[in-house]
Formats: sequence, C-alpha cells, structure tokens
Amino acid sequence: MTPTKTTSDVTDSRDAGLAIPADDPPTSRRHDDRDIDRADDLPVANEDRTVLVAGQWKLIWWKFRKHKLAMLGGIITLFIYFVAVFVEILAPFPPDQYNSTYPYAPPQSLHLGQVEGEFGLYVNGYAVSFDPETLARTFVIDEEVRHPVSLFAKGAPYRLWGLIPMERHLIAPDDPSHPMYLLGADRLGRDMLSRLIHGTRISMSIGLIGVAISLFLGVLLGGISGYYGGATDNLIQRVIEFLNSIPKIPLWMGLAAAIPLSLPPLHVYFLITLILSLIGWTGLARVVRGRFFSLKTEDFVTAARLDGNSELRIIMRHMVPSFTSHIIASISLAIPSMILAETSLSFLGIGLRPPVVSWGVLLEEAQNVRSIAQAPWLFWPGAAVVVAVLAMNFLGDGLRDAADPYA
Amino acid sequence: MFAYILKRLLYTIPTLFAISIMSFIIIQLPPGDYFSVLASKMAKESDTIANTAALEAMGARYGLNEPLYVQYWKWISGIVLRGDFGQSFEYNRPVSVLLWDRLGLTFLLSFSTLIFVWAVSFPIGIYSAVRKYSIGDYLGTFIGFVGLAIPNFLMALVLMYVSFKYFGRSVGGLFSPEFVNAEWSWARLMDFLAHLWIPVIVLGTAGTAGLIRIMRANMLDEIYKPYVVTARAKGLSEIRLLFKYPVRVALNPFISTVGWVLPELVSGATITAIVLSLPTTGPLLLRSLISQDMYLAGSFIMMLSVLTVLGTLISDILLAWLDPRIRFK
Amino acid sequence: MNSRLASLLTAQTVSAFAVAAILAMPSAAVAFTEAPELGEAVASGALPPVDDRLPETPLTVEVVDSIGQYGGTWRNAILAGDSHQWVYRNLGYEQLVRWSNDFTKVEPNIAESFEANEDATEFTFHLRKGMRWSDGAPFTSADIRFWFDDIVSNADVTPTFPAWLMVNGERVTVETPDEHTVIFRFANPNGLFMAQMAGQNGLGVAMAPRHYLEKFHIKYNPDGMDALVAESGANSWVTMFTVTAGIGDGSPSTGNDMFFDEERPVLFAWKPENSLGSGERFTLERNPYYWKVDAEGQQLPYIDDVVYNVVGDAEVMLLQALNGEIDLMSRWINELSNKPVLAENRERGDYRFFTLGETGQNYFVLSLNLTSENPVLNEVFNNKDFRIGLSHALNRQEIINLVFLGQGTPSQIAPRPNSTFYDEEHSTQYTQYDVDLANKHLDDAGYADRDADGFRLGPDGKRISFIVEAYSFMGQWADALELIEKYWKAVGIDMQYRTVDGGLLDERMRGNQHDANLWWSGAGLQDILLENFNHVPKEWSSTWAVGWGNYIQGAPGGVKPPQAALDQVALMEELRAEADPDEQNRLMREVLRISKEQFYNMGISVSADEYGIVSNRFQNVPDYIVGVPAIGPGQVASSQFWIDESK
Repeated sequence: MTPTKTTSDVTDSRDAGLAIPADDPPTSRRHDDRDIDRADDLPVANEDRTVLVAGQWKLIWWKFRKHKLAMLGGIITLFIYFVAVFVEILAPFPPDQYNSTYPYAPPQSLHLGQVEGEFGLYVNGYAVSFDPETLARTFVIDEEVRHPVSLFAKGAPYRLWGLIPMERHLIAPDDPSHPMYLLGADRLGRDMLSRLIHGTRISMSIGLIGVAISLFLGVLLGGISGYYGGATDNLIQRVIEFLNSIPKIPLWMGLAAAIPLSLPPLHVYFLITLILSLIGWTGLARVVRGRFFSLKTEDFVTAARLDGNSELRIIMRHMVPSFTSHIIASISLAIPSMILAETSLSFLGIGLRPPVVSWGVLLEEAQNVRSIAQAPWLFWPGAAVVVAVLAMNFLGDGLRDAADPYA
Repeated sequence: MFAYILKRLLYTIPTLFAISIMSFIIIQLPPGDYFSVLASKMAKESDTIANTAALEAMGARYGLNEPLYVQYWKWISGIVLRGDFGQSFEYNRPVSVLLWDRLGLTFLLSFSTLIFVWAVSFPIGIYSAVRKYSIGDYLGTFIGFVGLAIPNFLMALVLMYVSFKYFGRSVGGLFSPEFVNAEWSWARLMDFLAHLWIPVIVLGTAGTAGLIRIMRANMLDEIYKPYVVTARAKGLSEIRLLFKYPVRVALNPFISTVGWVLPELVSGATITAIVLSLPTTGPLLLRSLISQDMYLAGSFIMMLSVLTVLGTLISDILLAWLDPRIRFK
Repeated sequence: MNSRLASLLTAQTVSAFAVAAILAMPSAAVAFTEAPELGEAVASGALPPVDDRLPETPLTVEVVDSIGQYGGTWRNAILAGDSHQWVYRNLGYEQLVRWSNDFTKVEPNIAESFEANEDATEFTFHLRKGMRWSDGAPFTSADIRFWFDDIVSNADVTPTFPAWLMVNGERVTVETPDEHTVIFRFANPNGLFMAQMAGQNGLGVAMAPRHYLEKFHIKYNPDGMDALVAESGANSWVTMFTVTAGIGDGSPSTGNDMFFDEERPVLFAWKPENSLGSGERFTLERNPYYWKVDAEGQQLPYIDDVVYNVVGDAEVMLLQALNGEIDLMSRWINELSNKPVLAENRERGDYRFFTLGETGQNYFVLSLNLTSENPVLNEVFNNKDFRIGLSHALNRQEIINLVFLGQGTPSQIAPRPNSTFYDEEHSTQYTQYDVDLANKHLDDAGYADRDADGFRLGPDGKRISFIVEAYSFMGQWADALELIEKYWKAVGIDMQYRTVDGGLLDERMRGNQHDANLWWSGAGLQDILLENFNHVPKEWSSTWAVGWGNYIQGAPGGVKPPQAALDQVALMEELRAEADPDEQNRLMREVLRISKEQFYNMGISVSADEYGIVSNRFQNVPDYIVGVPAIGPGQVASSQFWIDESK
C-alpha cells in the first residue's frame, strides 16, 4: 500500500494546483476548459510551451513514452492479448488432440527448403524407439523425412469465438496426420504450442472479472469510508481488518471442496475467483479512503461544494477523476498477480483442473522430476508466465510513474 | 497515545470473535472428516475399504458427529479457557506442540529471507530512484521483477534439480539426514547454510521486486522536495545528502509495515516449503487442511488470523507514534 | 505370465485342513550368536545373554541368497501426511502366521505351529516357549486373550466387532488352555479363516503387550485413568488407549496409530526410538529380543538401525532416490512414468530395480452407478446393451500405450491370467475396439436418436450426459479419462470427468451421489475369495451399485438388487461356510460366472507388474517379489536383509 500512497500524495499537489476558483460556473464543459487554461499558472515555467498546454492524458502519455521498459511491456501485453483473442487461428491443433505415437516428442524446428518437389516450409520426421525395460521412448530427428507445412493451412475445424466456423490455422502441416511439434509434445502426445496458446486465453482473462469486482467494491467502499468518516468509516475499517485476516489458501481450499461437483471446472474456478475478489477489494479500499481523506479538505472540493454540487457529483466529477490514473495502474498490477495466483493454486491442486487448459494447469502437469530431466520443453508455459507477468508489471509501473506527469 | 492503543485493542475483540467463527467454518466447508480422508488413503495403501459403520464409530469417538455449535464451543472454550488448541488426529499430539516444534526453523528461514530481501532491494531501490531511467535502473528493476515473475514452485524445483544434478547434494529439507536430529554444532550450522540458499533465493527473489518498487517510489517522492534541493544548494555531498534525510524518511513506511510481516513469518512460503520439503509450518497447515485434521487446521488458521490482526495493530500503533497527525485525526 | 506365480494355480492357500502344521526346524545343535553392537550390554549385565533372550525354538529364517553380516543403517523414507503403511510393509508383518514369500501358502511365524480340524471350525496355534517382547517381558497366550477380551470384544474400543471373526453372525470364541496354546473356535465352518489370519486382518492379534497396556485400560486401571487421560491430552480413555495400543482392528485408524507410542513393546525386528508423529525423522533400533535366527544361529536382524526420513513431497523423494539416498523403496516414487528417469540414474544412485508382482485385476474399474438416484441415468446404466456399447467404444490398446506406457493387456474386471479363476471369455468379452459395433449396441439399447451435436438422447428425450469422478491423486486415471471422454463422444455419449480429492470422492460414493466413477479393481488372484466387491455387491465398496451393497449389508439407503446379485450373495455365504477348497473354488467360479453374465462394470487392462528400487549394497532382496495386497514386499523378511559395505 505504501508505494501507492506516496505516489498519490504527489498527485495531490498537482490536483491542488489545478483547483478552480469558487466562482466557476458548475458546468463540466467550462470546468474542463478552465483546467487547460489554468495550466499556464503552474509553477513549471521552465518547461516547454507544448507541455504547458497539453491535457492530462496527453501528459501521461508523454511521460509514459519516456519509460522504455514500460513501452516494451505495453507492446508485449497487447501482443499477448492479441494471441488470447485469436487462439483458434494461431494454434496449429486443438489443445486436446493426442497422439499415441509421439508422447514426449522433443521440439522440431521449422525449415525452409525443398519439400515434395516444391520450395516451402517443412519439419523433419521422427524415428521413435521404445525400450521395454526402462519404458523410455527415444526420438531421433529423421533428416530424410520432410513433412510440408503451410501458413493458413486447413486443419481441424473450429468455431472462432464459438461463432464463426473456420478450419484454417496460422501454421499447420499439410497432412494433418503428420507430426508437427514446434515446442514438443506432452505425455499424451499433445502439441505444447497449441496448448500454450489455448492456455493464454484462460490465463489472461480469468483474473479480469475478479479484478473488476475488487475495483468496483474498493472504490465504492473506500470512497464511502473516506468521504463520510466517523462511525461509517470505523465499521468499514473493521470489516476490512476482518477480511484481511482470513488466510486465503485455507479459504480457497474450503470453497473448492464445497462447490457442487456438477459445475464444469472452469465455472468452479470462476466462482472462487469471484468470492475471493469479494474479499480482495480491501487493499484498494484503504488507498481510496486515504485519498478521499486528503482530498475532501482540498480547496477545489470545498469550492465545488460551495457551488451547490450534489455529493455524488462531487465524488464522481471532481474527486474520482483525480486518481483515475492511479486506479488504472492498480489494475495493470493486479492482473499479473492474478496470473501468478492461478499457477500457484493449480500447483496446490485447488485451482483450475484438466481438461481446462491454462498456464497454471500446464505448469502443474510439468512440475515433476521426470519432465525437468527428460522433457524440459514442458516448461514453456513457465516462460510465458514470466514474460506476461514481467510485461504487465513494467506496464503498470510505467503507468504509475506517468500518472504523476509533473514529477 | 494510551487511549488510542486501548481503543484499538477493544476493537480487536469482536474481530477476533468473528475470525474464530470464520476459521471454524472454513475447516468445516469440505464434506467428510479426518477419518473419511484417512479411510481413502488406507484404501489406496492397503486395499482395505472401511465400512460406513466403522467410520461413523470413529467420528462418534472423537465427537465429530455432534452439532457444529457444540464442536465449535468445545474448541473455542478450550483455547480461551485453558489455552488448549486441541489435539491433531494425524500426529496424535497437541497442536501447540506441533506448531512450536516447527516455529524455530520457520522463523530462522523467514528472517534469513527478510535480510536477503532487504540487502538486495535497498541499494537497488535507492539507486534506481536517484538514477531514474538509467541502464542501472532498468537492470535493477528487471532483476527484481524476474524474481517476482517466476512462480516460486517452479524456481524451487529447478534449483533443487540443479543442486542435485551438478552438486550432488542431498536434496530437500534444511539438513542432511545425519544432522536432522543432531545438536547444534559448527558442522550442523554449515550443513544448514548449505541447504538454506535454495529457499532463501526462491523466497527472497519473489519479495525483492515489491520492496525495490516501494523504496524507489518513496525515494522519488523525497528527493525532489525543497529541503533536498536546499541541502544540495548548500553544498552537501550527494551521498550524505541522500542518507541524511531522504533515505530515512523513505524508510518510515517500512517501519510501519513491519507488523504485517508477523503472519508472513509463520505462514509464508507454504508452496516453496512443500516443494523443497522444508520442516516449516506452511506444509503442516496445508497437509492438515487436506487431511481435514480439523483442530490442527482450525487452530492454525485462527493463529494466522490473530497474527494478522496483531500485525495491523502494531503497524497502526507504530504509525501513530511516528506521525502524531494520525493519532489526533 | 510368471512362472513363480503359476504355482498359485494349484495352491490351496485358504483351505483349513490343507494347511499342514509346519514346524520350524529347531537349531539346537547350533550355538546362537548375536550382533556385535549388543556385546557390551550383555557383558555389563544390562542385557541377558542371547540364549536367554531367544525362545526355546526360534524361527530359522531361510535367507534369500546368502548368510549376512551384522551392521549398517537402512536408509528409508516416508511421505509426510500419508498413511504409515509403508513402515508396516517394511518391518511390521509379524503375525501369528504369515504368507510364504511366493504368496502361495500360510506358514508359521509367531506361532511355532498351527492346525485346524476337518470341518474348519477349530484352529489351534502353538506359541513359542520363552518368546519375549522387545522389553524382555514374556509373550504368552495371555497377550492374545487381552487382545480378544479387552480390545476386540470391548465395544468401546472396537465399536463394530470385526466381520472376519464371525460366521453367520456368530462370534468366534478364543480359548487359552495354557500359556502357549490359543484356540479359535467357530460355531460354523470358516473356510477363509487362515487366509485372513495371514493377511492384514491378523495384524492386531499379536500386537497387544498385556503387561504394558493394562495400565491404559479402564478395566485394569479404573482409579488412575483420569490422571493418565489428562496427561495424554486425549479426550477419553478410549482414544488414549487405541492410540497407545496401535490397534489393528481393521478400522481406518489402523495405519496411523501403529508407531505413535514408542514405549509400547513390539515383536518386530526393530523397535521404535521415537514416535512417528514427532518430527522429520523416525528411527528404529535393533530389537535385542527378536525371535528369529539364520541357519548359522545368528540372531536377526542383520541391520542395526532403520531410519525413515519424513519427506514432504514425492518429487523430493524421487530426487533422493536418484541420488542414492534411499536403500529400498516401492511406494510413492515407483510410478510407471518415473521408470525412465530412475533407469537413467541407476549407476549414479547405485541402485537396481526389483519387480513387485501385481495381484490386482485391472488398473481400475469403470463403474456406472447402477443405483444412481437420477432416474434417467439409472434406467440408461441398467441397460446392458448400453454398457456393452460403451465397452466396445473404448480403444483399450491405445489407453495402454499412452497412459500405461505399453504395459498391460486389454481386459475386463476379471481374475488375472495366472489365477485359478482365470476365464478368458470373462476377461476379453466386449473388449474389442469397434465403433460400429458400439453404435449398433447403443442403437439397440434404444438410444438411436441424436441431437443437433450428434449426442444420443435418453428416455426423457434429453441428451444422455453424465460425469465420471476419479481421485485427483491418480494422475493416470485422469489421463485415461481424457481419452475415454473422446471415445465415447465418438459414439454420441456426452461424458465429462472430474478429478476429486480422496476423502471427498469417498464421501460422495458412500452417499450414492455419483453418476459414475473410477475405483480400485480389487483382488485378482486366489484372494478374490476374500475380496470380490466388483463382482458381488458389498456396501459402498461396490461403487457400481452402492444401493445394492447397502441393501445386502442392511445399511440405510439400500435398493433391492436383482435376483442374480442376490444369488451371488447366497453363494458367497455358502462359500464362507465351506471347508472343502475344491468346493469353495467351484462356488467362486459360479459367482464369477454370474458376474460375467451380468457385466456390471468394465475394465481397461490387466494391471502390469510394479517395480521398486533397491540399493546395490542391500543383499538378500529377490529380483521378484509378489506384491501381496497390503503386505508386499513385506512378506520377504527384512530381518535377513544385510548391507555389504564393499559394494
């Protein structure tokens, strides 16, 4: 909580600087105009003229651009969400398509060259041998065999977003019966690349709803607590204290076991996320409360009140906007922690469970000595988690720095 | 100040009551009880399938078939009136003894981790604030975040495998087998340290990112303040300038959050401890939850919750003490 | 399949009169010697000389390969939070009688000899004169009386009198005419008694040292009880007593109580030094009063100490095994999928494999709950054509190849090929993978109509849809279900699977709440006589018809089974009261024939042999050990294992 508190303290002074005089007409349009006009009076006279006339969001964008890692993080995050949206097209195969010939097949590399008399993409075949004593399967890449591979090839039919019937895949073997394991295969001969891509959608989306609910409750209750203070504040603070003191893992385990079994595993997880987010709003609420405490005595709020604005209007129109950017940053930091939480819970066996495919589920399946010793490619989902979490953290970090454009 | 503390203490009483009920509900949520879980293990281990009558008889023997409020009263009255946290079914020992046995090493591990985290994140945090957007800032933040981004269980497994594969060490636990029950000695200490680095790295790297970020943000707040500018104008050296005021001010929020570390010290690192097979309290909690060892699990949850409340209390008091404005608000 | 097991085909292991009274050869001519580590204690007088510690006729153990040398520590491991059955399998199999190493006949053990009368109503055990508990106190028939009178027959301690000690509802009586004779007398013939005595039912019989336990029993210590209970922290004398006594009455507490009280004297080769509940290490030391010797008169065990590391995670245990830190292990880490990595590290870890012969019928049973409370599913599941159709839809060989690494042969739930009761037709009926045939059966069953997605419609006009539940800790089961889901989808059946924690799934099955599930396949050799819940309804163990099982048990929630199942139950009653082994087998075959005809549930594949690892320094461990249910590899005496430090 501490960092957010301190950064927002700085945002405070900026808001104070933008405070509008008491005689300002209470229309929002005028208000906004004044915002920009009054920017001239800011104590940053040595700055470039364009900065001085820029709007708040523009300033944030400029500031954000300066943070190279954050820019990179933003681009990667966009890319990951792009993958999550077009999963069916990008994945060569359905995530549950198994193959009894190629369990634990190592990754193949994609080649460019002559294949079946034409110049194009291909992958080499495998020579497989099985040792009945040690039960080990040995794969040797067979350079002689070339299986042609095409972009936007026909493969297993699917419905994009459950609606549009399609059968093209970004990359797939021309003959669907040929093996193409660009990231290797798992114990049932399923394609890791396809599973990784399919996992993206669930891992990147499952936390969103939870974060949204936490956000709503946090702003609402934190706002009430901070704005009214007194007994209301005290009550809400005690509730927060109580909710904070419930250890999450036991609660999650209890809930996971108590939810009816007939629900599909994805719904179960969704339900638990929902319940946890009903508890997880407390952090944001504390911050928002602190902001309200300090804002409500600010000149511009007093001014709005003297103008005869309704309480709701004061909150929504004048106070909340002053820390919107802070909230955006909170979201971008909450999502990666949800991604990590998902992997941890899958590891504990209380998160998502197969046949649902998520990064957590994939990692849980890889979490054994056998995989690390003999099929290290099963850890690709781990790399995906690291990249996604890093990218979103940098993005969030940059957003938070940028939320305070005058610092 | 005294009145403030007293008021806060009084407030915790209803919270603790609510927590005790919550703890009890959590452990009662899953269907079945300790004996049904045990029976299922036994079926796997020895092909013996317990009949329903025997299971019910076992439940009756331990009072598990009584109404929930009766069970709750027995449990909570034991804790409040006699300081008796109940008996673990699985280990057949008092819960307090089980926890106490593991608390020492848990604290040791947590403190080692804390020191590691602080030692790494303070310099990086300060540096990246002072040299904002420099290569060093990016690098330091990056390293911090990588630690955060790798799931702990994954890093634990990989490090353990590396330690096995390339160092040939005995893996898992905090001691080699021959030292587990031995008295403390130089050799045992060395053995302990040799086992300690994996959990400390796994746990520590996960914590550094957060601290670096806090430190950096706090420092950024301070170093642009007029008093710093004034001090610089007066010709103070940069190092003295930093450590004399901004660093000290930036540390304040830390001190106020020390209280939050309390429950972390006891429960923290559950997942890592499971993967690494550490004799700490985390795995004990998890196992008790899985096996529905209800008194152990319930008392454990209760204890963690109480520590959280106490931690909040401590940090609030510290904050009030550091910053008189809060007290009088 | 395996020649060693083939002898089971003829062995009449469970017959009462076929069990000859085998006398252990008294080795009077040989002077007894002891382990060097005991020498000092004997010299100082702290311990009596070896001749006084051994019974008059100690059991002479036939070593597997070689006479051993004393010394060393057996490095072992146990998974934290799991049952302690592994310790029992290592060193706790010390009962009145025991299974022979090859699981074909019952041999004397604590009992020096035993006999039964012709009609299998009276069983006499002769104990060894001068045999002692690990604290030096004499072991006599009074200890067994104490077990029977004050543990098994005490309704507080044992709420449900063990079924194996009853015939037709009448309890056995135990007589002890002298210090060394124990007679079990039944009112009616009990043809299965000796097999049960040698199996895990017999575990508790000779485990209650009267001289130690009396203090904890209300009957013998009514005055001092309150203080003892308060001190122990238990909630009643009963819970304190059961834990202290480590009671093996077949109740679910058995496994975990056995090694809690390190003070309790034992008859094992090693005695506990600390409580198994106390920490990360459980250690045992040599029992100086152990009552077995080798052919040269050396008192066993050869190995000085046994040390169990309590490991928190099976993967850590696997790494320890790869690292050569475990001497013998055939639990937790011996999954088929771990074999390649264990094989790769054999040299580094300095261990070898041994085979643990499998005795179960199948990898698992796939039960469709014939007494489902969902009326539609109930009707559909009870349609035999429907079950046959589903069975033909399964590509068993593919499941074997992918999930069980090619180990196994397609089979239904039926006795193993090396069993007396093997019936090829029973094993292979409906196992042929044939989608057309499957569709035909499903059409014939009356579910030919399909919905827009190609799924078949049930009698209510809605899609036939059900959930199969399986234990979350059985990874291979879930993998198999992943495939089965697709095979059934291909014939228009909407099946989904869920993995559930052990206790929760059991609870659901006991409550008859499941549509369908995967479950233990049960005994597949001669022991099918004792355990046959996948062929005959038995309480909730028969997860394919919990209602029928409850009906037969007289438990609540009973549903009247069809006549065929009632006939089977009657045949089983007849079998238990039958003394003639040939007649017993005939009755069993009849029961199995009905099971084949009814086709209650389905299997995938005969389960393949398991394996274990043993360090190269460990001697006298055979390459092949029968995995006797609940006992293996424990029937091979661990007291004759020895450590060759030169290897």
